[in-house]
Amino acid sequence: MTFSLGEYQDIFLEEADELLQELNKNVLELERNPDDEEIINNIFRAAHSLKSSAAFVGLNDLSDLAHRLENLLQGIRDKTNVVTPDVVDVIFKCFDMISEVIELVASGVEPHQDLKPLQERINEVNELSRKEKLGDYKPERKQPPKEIVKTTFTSSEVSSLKEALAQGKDVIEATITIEPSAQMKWVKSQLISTNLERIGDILKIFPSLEEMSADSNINVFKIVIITDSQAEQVYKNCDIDQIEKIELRRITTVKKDGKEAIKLGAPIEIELTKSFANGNNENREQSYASASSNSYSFTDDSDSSSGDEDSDINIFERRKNDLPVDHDRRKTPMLKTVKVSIDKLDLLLNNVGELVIANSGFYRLYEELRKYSNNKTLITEFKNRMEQMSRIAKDLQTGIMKTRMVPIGQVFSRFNRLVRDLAREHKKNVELIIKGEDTELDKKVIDVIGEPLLHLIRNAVDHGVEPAEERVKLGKPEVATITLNAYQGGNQIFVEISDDGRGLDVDAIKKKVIEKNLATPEALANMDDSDIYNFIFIPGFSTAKVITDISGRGVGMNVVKEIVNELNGTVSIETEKGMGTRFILTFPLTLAIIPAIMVKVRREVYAIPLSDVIETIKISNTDIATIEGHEVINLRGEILSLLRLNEFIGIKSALKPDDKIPVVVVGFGNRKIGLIVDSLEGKMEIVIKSLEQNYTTVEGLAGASILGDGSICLILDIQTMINRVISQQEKLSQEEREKLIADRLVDSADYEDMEEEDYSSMSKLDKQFAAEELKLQSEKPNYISDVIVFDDEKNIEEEKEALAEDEELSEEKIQDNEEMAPSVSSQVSSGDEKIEEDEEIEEKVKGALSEFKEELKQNIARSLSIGDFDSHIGDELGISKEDINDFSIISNIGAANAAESLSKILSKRIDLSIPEVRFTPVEKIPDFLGGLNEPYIGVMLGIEGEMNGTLLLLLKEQTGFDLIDMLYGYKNQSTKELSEDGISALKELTNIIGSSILNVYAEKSNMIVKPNVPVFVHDFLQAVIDSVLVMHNIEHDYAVVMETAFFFEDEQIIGNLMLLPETESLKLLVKGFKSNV
Amino acid sequence: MDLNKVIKNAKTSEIQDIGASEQSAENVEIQLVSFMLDDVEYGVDILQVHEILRYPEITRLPNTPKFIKGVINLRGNVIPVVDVRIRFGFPKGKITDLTRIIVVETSGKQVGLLVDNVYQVVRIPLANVDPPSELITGVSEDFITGIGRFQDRLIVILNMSLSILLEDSEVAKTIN
Repeated sequence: MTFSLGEYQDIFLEEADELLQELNKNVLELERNPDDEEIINNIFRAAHSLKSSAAFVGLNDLSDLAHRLENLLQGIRDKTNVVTPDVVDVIFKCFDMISEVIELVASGVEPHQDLKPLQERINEVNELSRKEKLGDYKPERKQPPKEIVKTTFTSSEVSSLKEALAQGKDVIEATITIEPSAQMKWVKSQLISTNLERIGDILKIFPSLEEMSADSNINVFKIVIITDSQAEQVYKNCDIDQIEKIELRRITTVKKDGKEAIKLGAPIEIELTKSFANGNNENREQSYASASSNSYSFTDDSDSSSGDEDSDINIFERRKNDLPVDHDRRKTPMLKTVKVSIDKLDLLLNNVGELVIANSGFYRLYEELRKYSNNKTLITEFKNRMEQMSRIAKDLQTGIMKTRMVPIGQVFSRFNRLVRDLAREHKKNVELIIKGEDTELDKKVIDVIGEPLLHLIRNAVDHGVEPAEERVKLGKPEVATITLNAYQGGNQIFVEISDDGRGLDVDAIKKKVIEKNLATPEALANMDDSDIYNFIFIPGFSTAKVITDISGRGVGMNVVKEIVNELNGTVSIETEKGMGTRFILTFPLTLAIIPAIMVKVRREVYAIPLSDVIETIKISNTDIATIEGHEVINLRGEILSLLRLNEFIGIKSALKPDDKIPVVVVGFGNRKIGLIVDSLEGKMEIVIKSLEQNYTTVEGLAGASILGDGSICLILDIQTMINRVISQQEKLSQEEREKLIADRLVDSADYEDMEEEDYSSMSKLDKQFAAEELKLQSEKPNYISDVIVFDDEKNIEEEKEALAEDEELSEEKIQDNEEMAPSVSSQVSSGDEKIEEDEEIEEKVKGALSEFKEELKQNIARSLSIGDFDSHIGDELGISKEDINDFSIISNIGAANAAESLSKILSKRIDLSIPEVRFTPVEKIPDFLGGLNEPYIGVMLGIEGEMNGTLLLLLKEQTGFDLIDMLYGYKNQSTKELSEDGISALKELTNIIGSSILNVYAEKSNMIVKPNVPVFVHDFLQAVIDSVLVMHNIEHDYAVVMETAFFFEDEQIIGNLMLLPETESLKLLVKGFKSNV
Repeated sequence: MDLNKVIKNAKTSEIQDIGASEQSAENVEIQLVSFMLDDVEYGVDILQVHEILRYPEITRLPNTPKFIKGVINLRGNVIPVVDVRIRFGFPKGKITDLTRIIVVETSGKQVGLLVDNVYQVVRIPLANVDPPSELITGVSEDFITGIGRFQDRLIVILNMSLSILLEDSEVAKTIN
């Protein structure tokens, strides 16, 4: 049973919400102008209303709270209490409490808040803020107005004055009052005097500019001007920003006692009519006037119980209505708004759409009419009317579209309170300036833009602006400003948040980037500052030294970016150290209409959102290759899976075999596929309609749209289509794996294309994101790993077979050495060989293996006798100890990068280090590792590019299992055998570590080094090593053995990473390091 | 009004409890829009019928059950059309001049029913409505709310619940 206040609940909730919003606004105002009775009265009134309505619905505690609040306000109104920050705080606390209660009631829960402490606090504050107690307390912002010096003239001034009057000129004295809160008041007086010099001669200014600049408390000054112009002109020139009051008096001379005396006239009444409106009085009347003329606010009434927006709008209108019309600073015309639910609007939009379509029917009629009738005048008249109607219909359509647009002011205004609270909490002096609140955005954007703005504003207050003392030291105004601005430019809306604080610290970001191994110092050096700023959007990135309760965790900026991207927007940063930071969010004008590419299959038209389309290409049937039953094409060296749209939607294609095939390359995330369609029909702006509204979601469809002729076209959901392709491939590869293994081998050349992604050409940031994407891959293996799975099994089977045979045959068969090498490679790489050939090859492999084994035995014996390996290697390769040291450092950078990626992907802290790097002859490997007949797990990563070889992660079987436990977060010792998941985890792990390390190698050696796909081997050590050598058919004379330690929490797992390069490649690599380090 | 409930109530003579309808079951009438499917007459509660359309252009909806004929544009709203013949397990029909789409509103959604024809609007006293019985040919009981006797005809009153109409439920599978 939910709690309810009875039939008046809804009315109460709505009203209370409105009242609260109004109170919040007014109290902020009060803090600024503690003596403004009008504001106090407004607050008083609202608190009183709240009290009565709470009592009415039976929320007596709330009513009591409001009553005490009223008491406190009463004191302020009667001037027995003073508005201190404490008072304002306690008032806000009350509001928060009341909000909480209201929220609970709205969600059907009985409020249980204990209001006693707050009530006591009110009483306490009430007592403390009594005037008599505070004595001569002066509110901080209030400056005592200085006594204005009476106008006095020197004799020379008097004579020039008289002269001017004699010439029939006007002499006007302007008394100008600057708003007390205005900064640098003397600038105002300077501005005004410059303005006035244009229309006359200034006789006198006092206090003088020097005096004013010396004393910031002077906010009233006088200017005497001799002019031909009208008083209105003078007024206009005085009326600049932040001027509170302008009083003009005419100075004349009168005969008095035979002497000419100077007389100051009565204040001149200025008719502030048309001439006023085009002045520069932006902050006042004008903005309200324009707000009233076009600010229609619409909200979705479905969420009225919880929606801030709704009440914000009400406040927007109410605040303006409530304020006295004749109050000189807040003269506000009535703002007329209507609340309309989005549903109603959509209905209207639908009908107007129909009108446009129905109207198009007239065009057909007109064509008919022209054929059959000779009455030219009638036809022309018909055409004119028809066109007029179509214009009106279209105007109506755009008009209704526009009503979806809501002014951003309602979002902005929420931050007044936030900034105040944050600033107080952080003991900073911050002023929030809001501009462009009339700029309209799509309701959808308005609904979610609050959160990113909130993060940005928090950041600005917490990190952006400096404490007052620091600002003063830097010569900045003591009060920091944060500006929210919104404006439209072209088809986009810009929302800016700027502060005049420290600015982003590029060096701190760089430091953090290096610390977090997001990029190398070298890479950073080549980056623009703007690229570097973008690092702050990476999750978990924060340069804050101290994490405060509001920011510093490095989450906010990531959220900002995500939300803005979701709305098809972008974020950019402008910043200058010491000057401030500006974040610019850009959004498309409307989300209801999207551009799309129209495609056709037979007679059915489908729309693909343009945001998902990468390119469109035409291919011919011969370009299509088949891998594992999936159609693919080679698109500029990249393997692109194809999906035939006609198959997806279940109809036959109209394409003939010889036709050029149109392919739309679509992407989601980092995945892309090619969509085969019958024809491309061009680009169109479409209105999205949901299918859920009357039916349900349909797989593969994002919605529908109604075309100009009234027909429906369906909008494709690219994300699910891509997912489906991937899952189908998965299914297929599992089902048909055995069949496929029997049928044919995959051409290894295909792997190369699949891993074509050129890491070295990617920017650092892209790499970061690419690393993130790996996460997706590990969660749901994509087609690349499927291919590998199948390949591995084949390999493992083969190796086992080979090994078994090997053991049987032992050292009997000896084959020709020269013949051996090429035949081994062809066995692996050429997939379409006939079975007879395969048998022949197998024979050779057996031979090769026994040969190798024999050699190995000899080598082991030899190297054991050698003794000092390092020097031996050094001689052979020309490598010094320093080189090995460099190698170790560089490898560790790679390991750290890998650890970072791993930690991110697994969302737990994993560390990786390579404590020792050893160069050793391949034959010596077993010595480091233990028995040749122990079971081992190996994951091989072929290396390509300017370096040939293999990177091998070699783990004892149990270590491999432990690692799987660690990666999946299983309990210790829970993995007892290799599962599909375990294998894929280890492969991904190798992929990440290998890519990270090879990337660093590539960077440091200026070589092109690229990883291939990982291949998994689980066997006895001897067999694992054999398979590496056989697989890649490279004479690995030397191996670089890197003992690799994985740290996770208290666990430490040690494996071995081995680089098995071609000797030449190894030499080149070391040389490369030498010349670049 | 939920016809199901009304009928049930009428049968158990609890109708007096339903506040507004003080009259006896004899006096309560329901109105049905009826259509013929092969030889059987079916009825849809008129209160649920939004409008009746001639056969419009229907856009096929891929990846949906067979009985979803597609979607149509009803004054800017995209609404699904259920081919009643296929839904009820009848062989596919032909589109003729008489083919109509009965747009019904149920659970806040609009759904079009593709039928061979629209026959009549009939008034039947509730007393003449019997609960679904095994007698009736062709259609599974799940689709039926009751059977109305009108003059010498029997009208199968259809259950317009959304799940029955649109979901590819077990019901539909057993029929097909």
